[in-house]
This record gives sequence, structure tokens and C-alpha cells, in this order.
Amino acid sequence: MNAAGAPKSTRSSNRSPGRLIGRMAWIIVRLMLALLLMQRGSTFFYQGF
Amino acid sequence: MLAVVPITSLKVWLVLLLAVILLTPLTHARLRRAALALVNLLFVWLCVGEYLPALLIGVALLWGLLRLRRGRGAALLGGLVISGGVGALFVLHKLPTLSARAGLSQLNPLLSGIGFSYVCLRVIDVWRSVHSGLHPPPGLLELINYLLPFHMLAAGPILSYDDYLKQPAVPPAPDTETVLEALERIAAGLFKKFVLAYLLLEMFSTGWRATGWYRWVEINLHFLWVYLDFSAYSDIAVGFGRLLGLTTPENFNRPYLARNLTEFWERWHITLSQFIRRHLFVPLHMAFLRRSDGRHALLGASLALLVSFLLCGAWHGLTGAFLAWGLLHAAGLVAGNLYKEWLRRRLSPAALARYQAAPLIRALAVFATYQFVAFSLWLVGNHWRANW
Repeated sequence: MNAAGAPKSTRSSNRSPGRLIGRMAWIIVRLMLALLLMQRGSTFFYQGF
Repeated sequence: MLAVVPITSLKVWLVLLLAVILLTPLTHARLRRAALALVNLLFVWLCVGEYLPALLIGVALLWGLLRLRRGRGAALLGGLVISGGVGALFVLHKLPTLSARAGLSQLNPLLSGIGFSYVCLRVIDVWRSVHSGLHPPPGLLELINYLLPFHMLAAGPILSYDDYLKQPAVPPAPDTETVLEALERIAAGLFKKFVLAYLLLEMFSTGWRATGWYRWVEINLHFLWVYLDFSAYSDIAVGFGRLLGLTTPENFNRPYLARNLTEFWERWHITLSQFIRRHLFVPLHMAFLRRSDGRHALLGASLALLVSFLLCGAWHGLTGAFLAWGLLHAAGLVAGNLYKEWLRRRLSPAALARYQAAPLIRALAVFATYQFVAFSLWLVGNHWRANW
């Protein structure tokens, strides 16, 4: 709650530079890990369904 | 033979990149429709190669048949040709040995390449929409974009033709938050598939060789793996849909938390469940109620569930195992409905609400539903044994 008693805006905290960098870093980490293991050549199990 | 293009192929990602570059700046509805058709056809060409002209002839034929609305005779003929043609192609797609025996084995790479199991559902949806007068027949580009959406081609989600038409012809340009959410969704999908599902498979799968208690563990983990793999594809499709402003419905909502089978089918492969409800369950149930003057609603619902899930099993595969899987789910759904009805008669509304909210009952219900689904998937596990 802020000083006026209203709930804090989550929208502004989502846009804070720190949070933005954190989200982008997490995207990159996941993409890098996926890319690393993607080389094993696996396909989606139902492709060609 | 070009039946499957792996998602690891660079060409696939180049087409996706082209879609972003080409579609994002376009603000003219017709140009955007044409550019989207171009991207869809390019992607389909990667999947079916030399069979693309044959596919285009098929789409053009369907386009012509959908326009046969002058007079009942022509519309009936169009309906018969479409349903007969789609049914025959579906059987040939699901039974490659039959198509080989009929000398039509060349059809299989084409049908597999476009994921015909999904395409045929879209054909049914557009045909019923047009036939019932809900929407006018689509233009050729519109039909290509609806039937062959590059990001939903291999495994859905299944967008209804009604929802497809409701989306804006030119969506608003995505803001930073939308782009970030879309990228998060694509990254989540790739992570689920190539890291989580892969590690689960590598660490725990014995390829069904285990016996005793570990067989039970493997059956449970197999369900989790199917979920991770399948929902990963949907995550990627939804992510690309958001990035490009293309309506792409959600297909999963934490299905492992379902407390009964009815809830499971509201959380798992949601767009398939909606298709079944729209085109099978509701029409069958309504037909039964009309014939029985509105009596025996529960019996009517049970019969409609039985037919719907037998056909759902057949859609997954024309094998005894898939028909048994469909029958099992129908039986589970009917049993759940009967149990709910029994509780309703036995308990007061307040006592029923207390019973359903009790943590132990909820936990037991989630556990039992998970086990039911996991064992039913094990039943058809042979179909995907090469993967697990």
C-alpha cells in the first residue's frame, strides 16, 4: 500500500529498469540453455501428427 | 521425404524472423493478409517441398466448394464432397499401410507435413460456419491463412473460424511490454522442451523396461513429459502470435491440478476440448434431448460423451489402443458426472460445498485424476515409444 492507502501499482514496478533487465536476462539464460541442448536434434514428439 | 521439419532447423527460424520483419510494419489490411499468406506458404513449402502445388490445388478446390451455396442441391453436394474428401484423407493419413496398398503413399508426406489431423479440424470448422450461414465463404488468401497458420501448423492450438474472423485485420503495433511478454513465452516454451522435457527423458526414462515400483514412477513422469513437450509447443505458438498480433488461444492451464476429468479437459488441450464440445457433444446432446422431450438429460450427456470421446480417440490414432483410451476417458467422465449427481442428491448444497472444499478431498481428487490420466497415456504410450 502507498501513503494514500491505495495498492501499489504493479505496472510501474514491472517497468522498473532493474526488473526489465532481470526479465531480459532470464529470457537470455533460458534461450542459451535451450540452444545448448537443442543441438541433440530432438523434435516435438507429435510432429507430423 | 519431407514429412517433418525439426524445430532445430535454421530455416524454420529464418521464416519466423521473416514473419516478424514482414508483418510488423504493415498497416494495410489487404497487404498484411497477402504477406501473412506468403509467410504461411513459405513455411508450408519447407514442410512439404515439391508437394506444395498439390496442396494449393486442394485448398483451391475447398475454396470453390465452400462457395457452392446457391440452392440446396449445390450446398449438399459441396458438403458431401468436403466431408467425404476430408474423411478419406484422414483415414489415409492415419493408416499409411492402407494408403500404400491403395497406391496413394505419396499423399502421406504431404499430409504429415501440414499436420493434417489439425488441418481437417479447421476444415470442419470453416465448413460448418459457412454452411450454417454464420459467416460468408472466405476469400482464397483468408482460407490459406486460416487453414495453414505457420505458427499453429504442427500441433495447434485449434483456432475457431469465428475467433479467427474476430481478430482485427491490422492489430495495434506491439508495445515493449507485449514484445517482452511474447519473448518470455517463446523462451519458456524452448526451455520447457529442450531443457526440462529433455532432462526428464534423459534422467528417468527406461523406455518402459522398468518393472515394479519404478514402472509406476515412469508412468507418472511420462505424463509430465508429454505435458512439458506439448505445452512447450503451445507456448512458442502463443508467443509468436502475440509478437505478430495473431489471435492464438491458450491450450493449457496447469492440467496436473485438475480435480476431476471434466476439469482436466478444461485445462488440457483446451482448444481440442472446445472443438469437441462445439461440433460433437453439444449437437449430439441437443439431438438426444429433442428426441426424448427433454427427459433423461444425464443419459443423453453420457451417450454424447461416449461418442465424442470415441471419435476423439480415433482422431489421435486409428488403433485399438487409442479407441480404448477414448472409451476410458468417456467412462471416467460419465463416472464423474454420476458421482457428482449422487453427491448432489445425498448432501445439502452447503454440505456439498464443504465436502468439495475440504483440503484432503481436493488433494485426493487431484491425485486420482493425475493417476487416471497418466495410466491412460501409458496405454497409448506405444504410439510414442520411440520418443520416450
